[in-house]
Amino acid sequence: MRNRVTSVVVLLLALSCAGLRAREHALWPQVASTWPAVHESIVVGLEGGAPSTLAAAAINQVEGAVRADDYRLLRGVDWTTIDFLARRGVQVRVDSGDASEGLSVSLLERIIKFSEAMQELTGR
Amino acid sequence: MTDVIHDLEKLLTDAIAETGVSLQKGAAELAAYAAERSAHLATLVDDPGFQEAVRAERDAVALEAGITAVQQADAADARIVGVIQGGLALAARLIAVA
Repeated sequence: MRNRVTSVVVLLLALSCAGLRAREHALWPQVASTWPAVHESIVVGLEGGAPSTLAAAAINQVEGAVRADDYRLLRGVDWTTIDFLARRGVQVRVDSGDASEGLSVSLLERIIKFSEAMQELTGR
Repeated sequence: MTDVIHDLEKLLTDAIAETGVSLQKGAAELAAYAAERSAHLATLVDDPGFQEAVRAERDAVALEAGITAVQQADAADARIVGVIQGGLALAARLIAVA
């Protein structure tokens, strides 16, 4: 009986931490591969200007995490600033006629999901 | 002792059943989301930015799949913790009556 209980507990412990594995192997790779497109939108949103100190810190933090391929380096990242600047980039393109309203819906949807993903990864 | 073993087996069976339902629901919701994004893309076929929209929607669906996977995994972890806690409580009962 004791051996059965021990076996079950060991098996359960081995199966746990599924959340960590899902973040590392399912979600993070997609966030990392989407980042260049989001970053491009941020650059457009800055309209040639320099990012604020806050924005630069957030951008550099994500860049660093992607370069190191370690989502744990995203801890504490200000994803709301990333989200705001990326959305502004889409608006700039729509205002300049570079993107249609229909295209902007798709671009914004990607940004929305990117931000949701950042929240899942950082727990914020 | 038989009662304790039966209770532990029920605990595991219930957790597995809940996980199955949760996985099915997650897959269905993801499929619905992908269909919704495809429907939007269909409206952009003649748009000069169609290819860019395809890439954006592809990324959005892939991110949603990852988010769903994490939420499912977190729920599974919570159930496992619940099973272990339940199992420990049952084991304590076993020791108390031994």
